[in-house]
Amino acid sequence: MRTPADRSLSGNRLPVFAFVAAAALGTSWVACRPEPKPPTRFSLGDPLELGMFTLKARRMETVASPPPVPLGSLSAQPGEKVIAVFVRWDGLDGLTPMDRRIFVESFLQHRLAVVDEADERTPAFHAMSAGLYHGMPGGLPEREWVVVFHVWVDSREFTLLVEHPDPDPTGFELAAIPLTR
Amino acid sequence: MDRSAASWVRCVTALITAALGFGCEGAVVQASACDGLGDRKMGITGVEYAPCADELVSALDSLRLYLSPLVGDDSSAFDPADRAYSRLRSLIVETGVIRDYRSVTTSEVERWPEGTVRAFNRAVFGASVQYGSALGAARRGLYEDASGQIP
Repeated sequence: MRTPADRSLSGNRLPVFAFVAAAALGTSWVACRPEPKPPTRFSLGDPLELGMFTLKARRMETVASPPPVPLGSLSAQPGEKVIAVFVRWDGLDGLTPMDRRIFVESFLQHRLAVVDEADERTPAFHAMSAGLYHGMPGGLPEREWVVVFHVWVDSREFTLLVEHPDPDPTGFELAAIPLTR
Repeated sequence: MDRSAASWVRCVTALITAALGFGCEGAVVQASACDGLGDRKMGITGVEYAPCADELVSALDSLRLYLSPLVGDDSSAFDPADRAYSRLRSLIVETGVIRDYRSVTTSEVERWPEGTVRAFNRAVFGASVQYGSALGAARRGLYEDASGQIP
């Protein structure tokens, strides 16, 4: 024979069950989340296949202070230095020149970052054509670009990270390219 | 049956119902050329978008067809107009453009690299908002005057 106290206890089981179920679901979601793939290592000059285009990182340099071209994005703030990574893209032949330019600028600014020897990650600050970087707008091939990063002044040993927005199962999700040989 | 057993039965029934609901949801959703575009993060070209764009234009045309009688006070067009509007909105959601406009993490430019396609998407989205407003206004009785004049 069940007492009123027993009934009260069994009536309280539903919230407990709901809590346990929610906790189990939350735990399993955290535990079963796919691990992000480790970065895939590439070298300077290797073509990165990014679906509709390829990208090559060519070299890196530290921007002189004051910069050779009066662009705000090239001026270092106190405690920072500016590094420029030279890249070349190929493909995008189906786009108009203006669409290519808008696309490349957006991609380079959103999908590139550098990490230093202390694993400090810095996203791209700005991307511009190599012609603009050298003070000769339109004077260099359209496919040569420069990505600018503002990093801590004492940081060194940089690695460029390139994120693939739509990775296929056999390709890379994140490319890591050491910028210092 | 005591209360404990009854609550367990209710809980299991609810879970089974929810599972069936999720399982059967896909069966009633109409397949579309726009399916899956919202999952893409880069490089949807105009050529591959064309079949979906056709469906979007057809959905807009279909909705317009039913909106005209509503303006003329033909309330029998409400149901098909609602269905046409739902179809249009579900297609637009499938393309992912609403998320593009709201998100700060995805890039509209990367997903739709062609400026003409971005302009098309904005035109379709704008038209859907305007048609939705017209439908809502008709439902609120703003078009009671059978003259068809927009107040």
